[in-house]
Amino acid sequence: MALSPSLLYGLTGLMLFVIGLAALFTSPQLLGKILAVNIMASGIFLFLITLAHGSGTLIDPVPQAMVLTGIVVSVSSTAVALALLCRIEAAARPPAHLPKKKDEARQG
Amino acid sequence: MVNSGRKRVSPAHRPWLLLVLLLLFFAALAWVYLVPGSVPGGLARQVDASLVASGVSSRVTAVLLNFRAYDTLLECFILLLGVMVVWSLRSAGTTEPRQPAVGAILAALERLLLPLMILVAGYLLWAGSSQAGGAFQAGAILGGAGVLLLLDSSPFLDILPKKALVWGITLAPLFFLAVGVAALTQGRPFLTYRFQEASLVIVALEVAAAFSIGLCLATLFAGRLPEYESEPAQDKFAAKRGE
Repeated sequence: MALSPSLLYGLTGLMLFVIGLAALFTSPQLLGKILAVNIMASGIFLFLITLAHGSGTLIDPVPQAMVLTGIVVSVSSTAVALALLCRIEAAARPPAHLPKKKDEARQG
Repeated sequence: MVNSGRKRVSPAHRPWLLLVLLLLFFAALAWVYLVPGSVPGGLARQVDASLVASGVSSRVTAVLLNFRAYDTLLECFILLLGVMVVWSLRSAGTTEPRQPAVGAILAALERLLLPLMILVAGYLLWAGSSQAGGAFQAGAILGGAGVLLLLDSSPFLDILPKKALVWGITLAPLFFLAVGVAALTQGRPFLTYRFQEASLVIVALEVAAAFSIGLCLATLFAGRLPEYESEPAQDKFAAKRGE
């Protein structure tokens, strides 16, 4: 199979997905995990768009529509994840009237 | 002794094990992608064949708002759900004071860009029925305009009447649902349109969806309940404590 641009895009999309998966597993911070999920989503979007163009002359609009929907869904899920993260940070923070302890367990 | 030795070695091997597993996973994915014939041909032909009946001439819009309209319906509800979750997580008392990023450049940018953004959003909405564009793109730009306003600590979400905000956010999901149910009451399948009405219904749905998506995105960026919502609640608690 000849190395065509669409092949390169498809493999890049898959690679982004795997890189995001690796970061999701290894990142010690929750924010890093949220970013990792976003990178995975970007990889999937790139892959889907490549599939839409892959079949040749006819461009398939269904994966394009799915990506458009997916982008909005991923934005709203990221917002929910960030709100959860803020809530976790607020809960992990020591109350203001207590003396501040060493901030060690706050990284996760 | 043996146990402790294994404990010491195992974590050191873990990154390599993960790397190998992920590379194997990537290889499997790439293999599935590269094997000829494993990727199906897609639905381009089917979409083209029934495009005339869809009411719009843009194929992506036809898929989004006619052939797979339930996708867009669910997506509107997911945005609504996101706003509800964010509001309930960041309710009264948990909001920190926002640091306003007021600056001359931001203010000038806002003055220059905001009218243009609204114009572009309107154009994209209009263009969506025949070419690239549509509710999502217009909604994203409207959301961006809202974010720009929020960055300048403009309290437009707080000034907006509560009812207007809630109705604005729920406009698209409710309208979508109403259209779907109206089809049911007339004996057609859920979310199908009559041919002579399809064009009009799709444009109306797109306008509502763009408006709601923009408002939802800006609200999600604000990440908190508007002020009028949190202040009475705090007052109530304060009054209770006082008594």
